[in-house]
Amino acid sequence: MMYPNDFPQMPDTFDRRVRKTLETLPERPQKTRCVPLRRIVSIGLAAALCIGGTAFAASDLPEAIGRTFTLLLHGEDAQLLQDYTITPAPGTLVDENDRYRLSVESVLFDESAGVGIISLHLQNKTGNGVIPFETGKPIAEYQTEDIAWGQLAECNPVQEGQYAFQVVYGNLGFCGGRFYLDTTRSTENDYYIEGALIPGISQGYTGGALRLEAAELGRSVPMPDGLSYRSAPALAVDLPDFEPMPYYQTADGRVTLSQIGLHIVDSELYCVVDDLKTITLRMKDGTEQVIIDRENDIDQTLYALGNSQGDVGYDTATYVLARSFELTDVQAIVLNGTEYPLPE
Amino acid sequence: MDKTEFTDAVLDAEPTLYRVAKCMLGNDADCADATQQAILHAWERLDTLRRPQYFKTWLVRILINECTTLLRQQTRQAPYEPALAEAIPAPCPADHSELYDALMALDETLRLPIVLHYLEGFKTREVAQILNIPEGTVKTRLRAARAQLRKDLEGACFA
Repeated sequence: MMYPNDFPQMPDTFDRRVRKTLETLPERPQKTRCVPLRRIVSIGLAAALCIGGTAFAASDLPEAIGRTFTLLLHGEDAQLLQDYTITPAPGTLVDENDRYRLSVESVLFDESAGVGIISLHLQNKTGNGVIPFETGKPIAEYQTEDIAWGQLAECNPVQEGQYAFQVVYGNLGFCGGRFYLDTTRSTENDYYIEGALIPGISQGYTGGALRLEAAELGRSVPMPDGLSYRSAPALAVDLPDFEPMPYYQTADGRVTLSQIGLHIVDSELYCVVDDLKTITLRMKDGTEQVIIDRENDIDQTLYALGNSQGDVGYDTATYVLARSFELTDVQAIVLNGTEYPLPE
Repeated sequence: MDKTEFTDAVLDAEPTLYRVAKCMLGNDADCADATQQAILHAWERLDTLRRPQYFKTWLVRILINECTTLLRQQTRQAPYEPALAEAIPAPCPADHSELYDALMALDETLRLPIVLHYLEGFKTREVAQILNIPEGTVKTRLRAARAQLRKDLEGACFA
């Protein structure tokens, strides 16, 4: 027989958090979720950059001039997306404080699938080489060529005063996302960061302006509802309006595909983002483009987010794609062996 | 179910929430994070709970989803410098029994059914609903877990 005493006792801190959460619930359940107090999970102590003044080679820089998303996308993929990529004039999408200057280099957003990628430059104005975040790389198991995100060093705040990059919208809806440091381009005081993002982690996204923020760990501000708190933005830049990108959608609305994003709704799977083992594009020329093949460790996505539209379970999945294509070249999308033809 | 009833139901389930989260995550701070998320998610989706008498089962299922999400986020990242990662101090051992240690040594697929059935009192049918697996699979895993625990706790009293 097993008794509760066999387990560690529930600490007072746990009880206080539960009660605080209950106290701050809105009076009526809302579809929008209040962003909770959230402890930032530490991912480690060391940075991909050598802290202490070592500069980095920028040998790729001459090739990168004129190209967008030099970290996240292959050159030909960035080229395919250039009609919808916004590259602001210097000095236009900028914010700064006494220590750092944040500017947007390029941004791309696809509202149909609900994904975006962004490239930004954070300059250390003081010149002291203090990087306001730390970086971590995926464990060795994921560091293979065929796993796109496995090659990237993610930026995360660990200590108070450090920054978390995030994109928000509306009445503080948050995009899920990952921001990665371009160690090739970055130097001791200039940090080039690219991010993949998916709106809707906290409330449904129904269009509207996006805003890039660098939120400071350890400094909190109340949310608009006055019931909860979030990390205070140390820097913020309003993103421009985006031209709608073309997309395909199956007749039942189950699959939405654009050149940069894929959105799937499948209530028959308990957790789509976990249960989808293979995702492939079948092209009109007979070739196939593999997006995900878990058995063979292929994952050509930059970021994925599972979500729930109904009862418990995660019946939707959204992916930011690492490889693009001409949309008109795609004949069908194949999910776990089931083919979904796309409109002619 | 209004806010007061929801609050009472959550507090009534609180010890269960802690133990389930603990057996998946181990770390108390992570348990609090996941539980907070689960409560918010449950409040947001309250209209999808069709039978209030199954509130606890429903809430535990949400919590397990949140714990799984948290674990997935954590296992994708590792410190870039392994040497510095080793410098991170290990958490202090909690005051708990040998049975708890043996439980935590089980694979999660075996550990969860044991906790839900024997500690939290859910019927095997309810455990199947919570974990979204067939009831037969629950029984198989319970058998396997008991066998492993007997082996690990040789000499201890376990029924």
